[in-house]
Amino acid sequence: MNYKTIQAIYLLVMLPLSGVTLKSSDLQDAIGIIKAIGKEGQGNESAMEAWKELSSSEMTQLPDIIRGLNNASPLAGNWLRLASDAIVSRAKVSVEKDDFPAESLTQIILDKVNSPAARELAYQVLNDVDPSYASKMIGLFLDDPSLPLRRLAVEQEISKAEILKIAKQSQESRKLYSIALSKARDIDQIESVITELNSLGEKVTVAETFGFLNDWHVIGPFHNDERKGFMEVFTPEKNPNLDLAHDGKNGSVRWKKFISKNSYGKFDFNEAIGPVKKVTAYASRDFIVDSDMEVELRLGCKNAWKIWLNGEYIFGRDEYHRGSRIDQYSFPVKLKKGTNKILLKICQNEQTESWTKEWEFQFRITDSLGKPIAEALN
Amino acid sequence: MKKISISLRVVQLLVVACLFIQPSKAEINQFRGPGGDTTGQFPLDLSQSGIIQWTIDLPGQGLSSPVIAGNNVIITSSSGPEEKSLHILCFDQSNGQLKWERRLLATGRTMCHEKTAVAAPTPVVGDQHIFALFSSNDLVCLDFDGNLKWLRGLTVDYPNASNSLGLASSPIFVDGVLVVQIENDSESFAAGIDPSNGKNLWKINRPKAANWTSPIAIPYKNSAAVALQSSKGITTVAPRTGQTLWSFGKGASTIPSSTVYKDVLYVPSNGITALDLKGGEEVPGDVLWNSRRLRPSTPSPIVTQFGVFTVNNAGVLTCGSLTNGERLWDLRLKGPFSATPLVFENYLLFVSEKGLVQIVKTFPNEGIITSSLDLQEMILCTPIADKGQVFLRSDSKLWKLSAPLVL
Repeated sequence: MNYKTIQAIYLLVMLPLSGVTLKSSDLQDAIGIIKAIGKEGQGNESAMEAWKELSSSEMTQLPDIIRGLNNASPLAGNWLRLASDAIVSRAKVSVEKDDFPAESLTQIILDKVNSPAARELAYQVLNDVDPSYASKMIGLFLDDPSLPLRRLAVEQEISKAEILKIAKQSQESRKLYSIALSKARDIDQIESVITELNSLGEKVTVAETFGFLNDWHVIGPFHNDERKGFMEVFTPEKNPNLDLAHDGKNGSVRWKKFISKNSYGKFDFNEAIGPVKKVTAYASRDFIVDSDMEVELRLGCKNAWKIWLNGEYIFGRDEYHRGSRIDQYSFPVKLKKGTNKILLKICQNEQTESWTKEWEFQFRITDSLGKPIAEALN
Repeated sequence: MKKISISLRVVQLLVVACLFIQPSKAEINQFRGPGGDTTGQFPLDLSQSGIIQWTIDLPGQGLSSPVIAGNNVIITSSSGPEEKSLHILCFDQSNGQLKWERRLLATGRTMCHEKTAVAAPTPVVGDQHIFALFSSNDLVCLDFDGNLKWLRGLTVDYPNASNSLGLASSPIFVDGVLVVQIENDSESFAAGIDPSNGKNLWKINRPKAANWTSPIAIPYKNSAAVALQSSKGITTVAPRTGQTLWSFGKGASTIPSSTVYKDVLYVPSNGITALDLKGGEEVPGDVLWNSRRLRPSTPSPIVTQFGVFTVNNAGVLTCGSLTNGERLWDLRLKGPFSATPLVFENYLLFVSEKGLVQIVKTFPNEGIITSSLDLQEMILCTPIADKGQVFLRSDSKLWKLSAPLVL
């Protein structure tokens, strides 16, 4: 018998197979400690002790732990997810099925006051234990604020549409695909539904569906020698007035309007300014809304870039030609009622390979789930 | 007679006591095996009936290697839209039964090239814990029973530390420190992390350039150092402080990692460059030789007592001399390869991207393919060998290969 075997026997004998009932206040304290973790491991020691308490609690206390995901950071959410996994995997072998809190978990899922993260975890647990029971709820998720739950419902609609398509009931199939398209937020689902609708004769484009902003004022080129343009503050960053001329790489340059007709919503500087390398350019656009609102700025770009909103720097990244995709980066921001000014800086580097020609971006403004925000009429 | 019985009693007590004492030396298992050199015993005849002991369906994709933790096989995978669901799975080595699964959501970026996955870095086992890192920079420390010790979100901490093609560098455990190397065009660093609480012991800036190589432990005087490889070359640092010990500045590959063998570091640099690690009282790192004929592609070089072995993009295995890097022989294999081959005595085990496992017997003047097995799936992970068993994975399966027991 080796050490591990002895240790295993000891654990089986000495530790309770079922969990420990924590006092409600202790449980909430432990959740609070985990939610307080900060950057670079700050608070980890306390969170480690709190996690031990939570993960040893009884199955009946799982719903309270899952509710702990409300207002939790993504990182703290993972601590709680792993506590849930530990409780469920232990309970599967030691708790009678009657103790499984299916009703409480269902309530968490159906009550949209709970955060999407909490509802998704409740659904995951329910689905792990009783998939047929969990799947009965899917139809309720078509408008859900949780993307993973909404995805399940959209998938169901797509499946129904496929069956109708195979049965050559094109009109009914188109209707269901259109519903799926209006509800879908995940890019892969949207793209596959667009393909299906197009095959059924419905003209739908990626650019329109995603709501990419295709009309911008542009200025450039400025230099990007030795990739230093990314950090250099060129004059359009200091003064956003579109009427001003600026000193560019090859002389004076002025803002001009360019409208992209790309069906994928790509805004191509090679068209707007010219196919040049080692350069920097800017794109500027106003975005008008009727009221103050929280939105996301979503960008796809394989060049180095920076974003400003109403003169405030949001984020930047100096990576070149490693790939891009729709909504590669997203930033929650607040738009103010009226005109909001967006400024993008996009740099092109010195590489000469064929796959380094792109000097472009895809940009849109959405709600937190990815639905495009319609601009108010000017 | 009485003396003998007392001695037996003492021995019995000692044996019982030993059962309750933790092993003194922490078990380390990592990318390219415990020694980081892919050495391990594997079955030599793949044509035997029953060579595939078990096959498990995995819940997500990945190219991280399996690692051994006690009697368990640990593996990571990623699933769902944009691979945001991260999995750490623990299987019983003997029968492939799932012991536990832990799931979390990516807190960092998950975009990567279609050939790789968010579950690209291989976990490391050290100090009786499992440390799993993902391309999203989520770093998890669990015990062997799946209990969480701590979590970090390195992109939460360092927001530009990501690569749109995906990260793949695997962490290592050296001198009681977990070392991660996160290098990309935008925000590159290496850090030594305290395994007891997940906090940084040190963090150093690294060259801003994409890099998929993994750190390796190397000897340094009477202790250990960490060799960090990048396009600039090799920088060796002290595991507990991150302080630079010595450097080699003539450039190196950003895909295959270096390999250490008997006080020599074989660096994928202008072919292969061999660096002397002995150094004596002097600073180590002298160039012993360089060979441009040895050109590793994605798989890292491997080294045995018989030579230095590299495999190129065309699937040609080349054996070079240990003393001067001179090419000794070539053998064309059925490639292409992403996985670094395994080493057992004078045998090498290759796994092609098409899932073909090939065993090569090496001689001073030639190599011969002696056995093969077609698993018929794309395999990019480096397999791991342990006590006659081989564990390897595809995007959907985990296999155990082992010679069947003869009753």
